[in-house]
Amino acid sequence: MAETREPVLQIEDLSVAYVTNTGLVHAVSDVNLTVHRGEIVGLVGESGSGKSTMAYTIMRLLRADAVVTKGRVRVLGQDVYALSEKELRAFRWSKMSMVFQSAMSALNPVMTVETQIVDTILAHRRDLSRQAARERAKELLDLVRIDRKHLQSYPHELSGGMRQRVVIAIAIALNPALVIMDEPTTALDVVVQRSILDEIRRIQEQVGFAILFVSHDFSLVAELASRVAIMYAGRIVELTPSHLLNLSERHHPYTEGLLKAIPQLTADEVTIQGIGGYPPDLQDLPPGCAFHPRCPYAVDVCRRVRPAQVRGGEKVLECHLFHEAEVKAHV
Amino acid sequence: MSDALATAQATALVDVRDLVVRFPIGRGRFIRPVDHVSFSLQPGEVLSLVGESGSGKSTIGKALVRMIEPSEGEIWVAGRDVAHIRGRELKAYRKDAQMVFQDPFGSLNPTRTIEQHLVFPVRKYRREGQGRVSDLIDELLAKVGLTPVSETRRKYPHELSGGQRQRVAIARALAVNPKFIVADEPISMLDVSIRAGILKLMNELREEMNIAFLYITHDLASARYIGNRIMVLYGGKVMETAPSPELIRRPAHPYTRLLFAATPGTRHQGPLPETSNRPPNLLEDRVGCPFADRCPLVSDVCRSQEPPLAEVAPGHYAACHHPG
Amino acid sequence: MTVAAIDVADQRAKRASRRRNSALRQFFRNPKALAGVVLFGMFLVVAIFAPAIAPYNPTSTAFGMLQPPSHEHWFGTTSLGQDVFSQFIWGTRTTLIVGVGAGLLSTVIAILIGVTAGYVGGVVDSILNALCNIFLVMPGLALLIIIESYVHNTTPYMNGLIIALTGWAWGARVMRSMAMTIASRDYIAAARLSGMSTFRIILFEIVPNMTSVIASNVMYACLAAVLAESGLAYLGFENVASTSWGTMLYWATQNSALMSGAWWWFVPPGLGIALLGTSFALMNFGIDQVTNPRLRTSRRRRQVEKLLRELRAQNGEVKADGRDARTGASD
Repeated sequence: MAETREPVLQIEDLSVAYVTNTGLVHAVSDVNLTVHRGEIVGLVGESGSGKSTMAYTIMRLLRADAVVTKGRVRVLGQDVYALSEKELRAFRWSKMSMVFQSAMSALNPVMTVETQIVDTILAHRRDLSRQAARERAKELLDLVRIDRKHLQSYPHELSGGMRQRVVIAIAIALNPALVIMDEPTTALDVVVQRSILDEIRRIQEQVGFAILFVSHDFSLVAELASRVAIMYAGRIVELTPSHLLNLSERHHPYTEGLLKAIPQLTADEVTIQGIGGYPPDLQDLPPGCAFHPRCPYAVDVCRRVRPAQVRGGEKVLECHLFHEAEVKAHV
Repeated sequence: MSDALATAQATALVDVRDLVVRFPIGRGRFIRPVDHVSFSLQPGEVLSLVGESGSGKSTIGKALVRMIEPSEGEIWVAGRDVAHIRGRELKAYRKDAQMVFQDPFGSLNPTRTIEQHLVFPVRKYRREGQGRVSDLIDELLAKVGLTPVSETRRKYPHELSGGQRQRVAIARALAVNPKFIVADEPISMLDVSIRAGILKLMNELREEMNIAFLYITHDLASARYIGNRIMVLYGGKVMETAPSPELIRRPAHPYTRLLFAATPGTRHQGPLPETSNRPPNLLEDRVGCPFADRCPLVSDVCRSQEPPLAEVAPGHYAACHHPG
Repeated sequence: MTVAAIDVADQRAKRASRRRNSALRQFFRNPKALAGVVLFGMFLVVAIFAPAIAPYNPTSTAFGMLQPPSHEHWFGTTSLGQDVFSQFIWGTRTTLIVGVGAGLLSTVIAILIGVTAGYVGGVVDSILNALCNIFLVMPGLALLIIIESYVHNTTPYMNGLIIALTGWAWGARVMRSMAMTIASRDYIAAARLSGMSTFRIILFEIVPNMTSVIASNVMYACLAAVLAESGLAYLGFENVASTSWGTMLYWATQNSALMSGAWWWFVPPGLGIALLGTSFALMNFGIDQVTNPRLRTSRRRRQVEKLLRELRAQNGEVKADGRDARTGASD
């Protein structure tokens, strides 16, 4: 799919914090990320990385106790947090939408598939007629390759894979420019997961929307996305083209750790290596680089000073071990 | 049956024969989540049980530790059939077989400290005096890598991370000095960077203490990493079983090849080798191969006759009319 | 105040408060719970020190009849010449013993029956559940009245016993549901696998996880018991020589206190019942809020949020009142 350079999502210097009884929890800090039209960008991270908070921040779906403390989120040039409630409702779903983690909790168990699609369409586009919405529902099921008879089915009557495809159909109902997918395949079996990913690729090629694919699974993301951002303790520590995501390239120590932690499916002797230590406690981050307690290459400066962001073409890196020239050479 | 297989059964720590588990689903009908499964486990061996939901893998694990009672079949552990034991015999069996669960957040009691989780099994099965109990708890926690031990002991589960909780669960299983442990998807809910640590811990324990593991998973890659042998399940039946490297090098069953293609990281090109995505039929009255509905190599005999588990290479068995 | 400054202050507060945040302390910090505890505490003190506080013998008819409140008789006198204040003080003791005693007893029965039914399941569950349903369906007050008419002239304590023995069913239902949920957790399976007996599992693994439900049930049961006992006494189904608030109301009605304007006779016991009941309800609120963090409100949190909102408004992103403030692409 040819990607034009027009940005559909621009995250600029974004910081998000949760207000808790024990202090501010900095879930996202100083994030810069751009997604262009028709592009698939992956966002990878583990617990405490802030990736889900990011996804919800873009959609302006944060909980009441979360606040954007800095920065901007622009979708198609529009500052999402500058919209009024009414404008937001029209903006959401027609410009950007979301596929949530668990289809079973994203779908209303007491409404048929058709009703859910139609209701979603009409909620965000009050100018459309019910008839038009129904027509669109049929088109959508065709697009995700579900038999039209299932318009009258209830979610529990569908298999896990089908439910997830319904959720995807609802997400693209109004032809948004950006679809955020938050771990859309986590709850699915491995074979169904693969077929859903194939479906996502096929539909994306056909319709042309951009995807921000959030996941903890590196291998999944690398197959689908053209660029991958790796998050740790609320920051993007590396942004790299996915074809460079292998151990023969030099990466941020965390990325390297993740790559080494995935067991390869091979008949040869397999070695895997975890990353020592524990996931970061966002309420109690260490000074300097948040990753240094677990970094096998940490040096003195890592423990004192937070690394600056270095950018070079398609790559972004936050690590003291890399000189600017090195990063820029990797284009 | 080959000599090798017979010998293996004779010396096995665990020998499961023709295990069947049936559940009623109303109106006089039954499903068979486990349908005539046989396998054996040698002391200190790791057998990886691979399958998706509906394959019966978790049910087999639960039957093996007697969380549920099998409907038919025999489970021979260290010379006696535990399939239908009750009462005191069953309580005694608890010393031999333990389980580690999938969800690190649900497998520990939120109102009890780590210490309190370990006291009961240690005291009950090791019959030690008061002082020794405390030392044994320290030993267990150190063995699973939860140092500093004195700090960890007093913590509550919510103060630990997912990986740490799973280590506590393993320590609890070790507390009774079991002969084997059933690990039901022990890493699937953990962060990727933490998983390797847990797998390595299990490997160490296997070597040091000669504990056998039944490792249940849906992920072929980790099954390969930790398992000496892999057994692939579908619809309650064994589709293929072989030593791990052999299974990965030459998968004989179409379902195994489907799992391969679907596993992330294998960079499989093209469509998946399946003809439909219907879940397996677990009803008791089904005929033929359970995979027939989805198999790209299906033929008439597949739908009418259930293929037996036959040797396709030394130590390598597949239940297929058209093995690859 | 900048975000950074809030942050530093929070770090300090957080280190201090981490030690203090046990459930009990949070309970006492909750304003409603505190009010309830204080109110209940007052009644408790009165009940314990009744002999020291009450100026006269409550049954003594030595005083002037139907006297309004005065210096010698704070709550006036009855039509028989008894001191209402002394009656009220001694009545506190009776009502409290009956109310709290019956509440506790009823909760214990509910736990025994409910948890056993929920955890053991099978035939035992069916039998206990049926028993529970029978007691649920029976109209409580009518049943009590029928029992009373057989037993005749019960003391308040006997009434309390009968109330407890007939009023456990609702609590048992709740306990059963909760026990069933807990029984499905993996740590219960693990407890069974470590050879623990059913009795030990119920007592040490299940019940400790139900403390909030149990505490809540105790409050509710005590409230119901107080009202039931007072109601029975008021209707005359209690030994009329006893000194409970309900009996006071009975006598007040018998002697047409309302009509003769002797408000001092029935207002204190009536208010006493209402206030005691309210104290239980308030403590119940507190328990709810502590156990369900989402119900918790925090004054400090609201302050911080307000501050952050103002900060963002200053930076020209969103107006503090959230109304239309499209800044668009102009900045």
